[in-house]
Amino acid sequence: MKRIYLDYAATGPTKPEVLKAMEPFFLQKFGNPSSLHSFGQETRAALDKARGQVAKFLNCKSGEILFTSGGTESDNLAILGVVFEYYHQAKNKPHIITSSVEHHAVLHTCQYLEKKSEAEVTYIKTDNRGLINPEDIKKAMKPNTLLVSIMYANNEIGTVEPIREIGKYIEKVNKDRDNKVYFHTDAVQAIEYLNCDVKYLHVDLLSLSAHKFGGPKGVGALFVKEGTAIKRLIHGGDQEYHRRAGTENVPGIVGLAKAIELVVRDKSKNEKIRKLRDKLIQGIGKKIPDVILTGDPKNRLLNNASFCFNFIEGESILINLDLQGVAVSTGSACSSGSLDPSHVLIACGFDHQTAQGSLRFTLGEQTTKEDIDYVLSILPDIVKKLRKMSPFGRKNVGV
Amino acid sequence: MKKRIVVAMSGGVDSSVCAALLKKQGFEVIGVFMKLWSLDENKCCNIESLEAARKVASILDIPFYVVDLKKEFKEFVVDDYVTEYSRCHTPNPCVICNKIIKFDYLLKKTLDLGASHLATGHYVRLKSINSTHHLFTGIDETKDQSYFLWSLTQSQLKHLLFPIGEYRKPEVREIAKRFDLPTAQRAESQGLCFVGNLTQDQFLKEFIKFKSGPILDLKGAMVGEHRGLPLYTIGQRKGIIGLNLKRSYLWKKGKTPPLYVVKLDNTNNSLIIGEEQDLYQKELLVEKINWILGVQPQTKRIGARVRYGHPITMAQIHSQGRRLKVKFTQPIRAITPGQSIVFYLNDELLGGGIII
Repeated sequence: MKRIYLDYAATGPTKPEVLKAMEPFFLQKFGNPSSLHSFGQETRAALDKARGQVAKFLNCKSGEILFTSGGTESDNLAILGVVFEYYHQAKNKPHIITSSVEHHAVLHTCQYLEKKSEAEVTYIKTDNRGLINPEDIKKAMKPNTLLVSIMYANNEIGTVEPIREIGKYIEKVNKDRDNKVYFHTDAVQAIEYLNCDVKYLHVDLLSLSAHKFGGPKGVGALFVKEGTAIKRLIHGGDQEYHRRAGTENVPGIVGLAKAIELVVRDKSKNEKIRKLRDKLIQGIGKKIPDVILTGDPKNRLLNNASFCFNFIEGESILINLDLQGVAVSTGSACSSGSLDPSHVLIACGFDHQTAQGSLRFTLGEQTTKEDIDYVLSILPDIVKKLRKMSPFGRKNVGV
Repeated sequence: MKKRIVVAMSGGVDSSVCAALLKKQGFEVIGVFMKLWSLDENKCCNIESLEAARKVASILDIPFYVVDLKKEFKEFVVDDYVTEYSRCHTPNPCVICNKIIKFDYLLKKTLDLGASHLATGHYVRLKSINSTHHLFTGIDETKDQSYFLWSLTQSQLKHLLFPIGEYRKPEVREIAKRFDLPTAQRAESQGLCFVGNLTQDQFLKEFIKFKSGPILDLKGAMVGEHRGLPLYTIGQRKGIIGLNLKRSYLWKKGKTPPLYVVKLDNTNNSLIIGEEQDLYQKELLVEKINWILGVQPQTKRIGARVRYGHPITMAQIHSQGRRLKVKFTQPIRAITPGQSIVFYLNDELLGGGIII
């Protein structure tokens, strides 16, 4: 059976050129970058080079890039690091502003701080497209606000948040404040498709993860603007400018840097992906009744097509598609397994029943017109069959 | 095209062998694991079971999905269980779980996935005779699970398969070994799956406010104080403590007889105690009746079982409107409202209901 992958927001294949760039760092160039000898020197050089490539992409200095194990660690380090450093200076309880549609890496970290009484948190509500109004952040600002963390693009519904606008506002606010407000963005979904120039965005912290844009899994980075005080979470060495101990994942970091280089080189492929995505959205809209496109129709990632299919469960559609070789997701891969309705859709104001009908298609470089045609040829039948009243399932008969 | 069958896989040996047998018979088998609600970690559908089930699916090379039925399980099984206890009934949550979670929600999911049948590892046998579906006790009498399946209907049965019912447990373990399934020696699940690490009483305490009240003898004399009726079950001897029998007819010079819970009087919040002989009754009333074949059997003389694992006793049944009066040929000990009564003709499961 031919298999079609339409779940690039979860992860994607490592690009062959990335793999090739990584290869020497397993067998030949295996030295520990902290070693003084020639083996260490060659991997140290590779590490420096990779850091430079990432810094160039984000338009920042090399010293502002920390390599981590991925997006989740970057988010944790950004939030916990800033809060713990703040406490280190023995101040009163800080305030964090974030949104209700964030990835769990941010949400759960904030909830953890709340539970331990180490921070108070405001969760900004979005409109029904998942869009944050910067005015709401202004309203939520308090004298003890320490950190604002807003994602760049939503992993489930693809909505792109007004990061630059928020960043500029916070920068302005900081001019009149003694205690600085830091601005973090989780840009994990954005790297391949959006402008990630940190000066353009006016952010102090930015998280990214390699496997979301053709790099390997298990490696990511956090941009920490010069002068941003953060406390390390992992102890045991002086690596990453004393901010993240542990021998560096050299092959992974080299792969990350290569993947980021390819993002720039292959920008032109994005138009093809957008066209296929539009074809999918239009096709589904035309062929299947009672479908809602979730997220913002315009301000959305160009590879994201997410829906709610009324009257049925996304889970059943997913399994049916999978049995016919098509891989999609009902929400984020991190929360599947637990099929609680997506917190993002609930935050957008959908009721539980509608949210249960959610399905996310995320396209990538390898997606073809034939793939989309195939999905459009089998999906209407699947939905039709599922919508046929079954004698079982109390949900449907309303008992 | 090969017929598609969904197997409910728990990670235990029975459902694993069930999947293996069907795969070997040439069906397109899909494994499904149900996630069910629990106070903390569920004793049955926990991570360890999930990993065991996934491992079996991977060895058998079949697709495997996790289905989340937590919300439904809480709503229909756990809440019902708590309500029944607060009404001083002793329910069988496994009966409700089979009826609603497995053979309604999961069956719907099965049909949604384009499968014709749902198979489970229950020890019962299903035979179709002239397009009616008959259920029989499992070959292995010590493992027979027909007691928990009395609520099944023809429209459900036509989509069900119980391949394990034809085997004895040691044979099932033997087959598991032959297929190299890692679940061959897994311990059996026991007790209520959803109480987590708590005892049943501790669990009930989380949901029900217990009210103490009088303990009475059968003639109404107060002999002590109970700690809340849901903590007691009919026939129970343990835990009836602090009695002062001086004013009771049960007072006998020298030695008092063993005393048992005879009745839970919810209206007056009192616990009635008596002697062993007071526990025996020859008849009872049944409601919420289901007949597997859809109609009440012609015969009035059938076998009945009032508790899981109890022997079958012969009885006469008489319809009383939507209820059923059951008269036993010999007295039965500790008949308990809320428990299922299940009817048999030889080894065929005819149906059942709930004891009032």
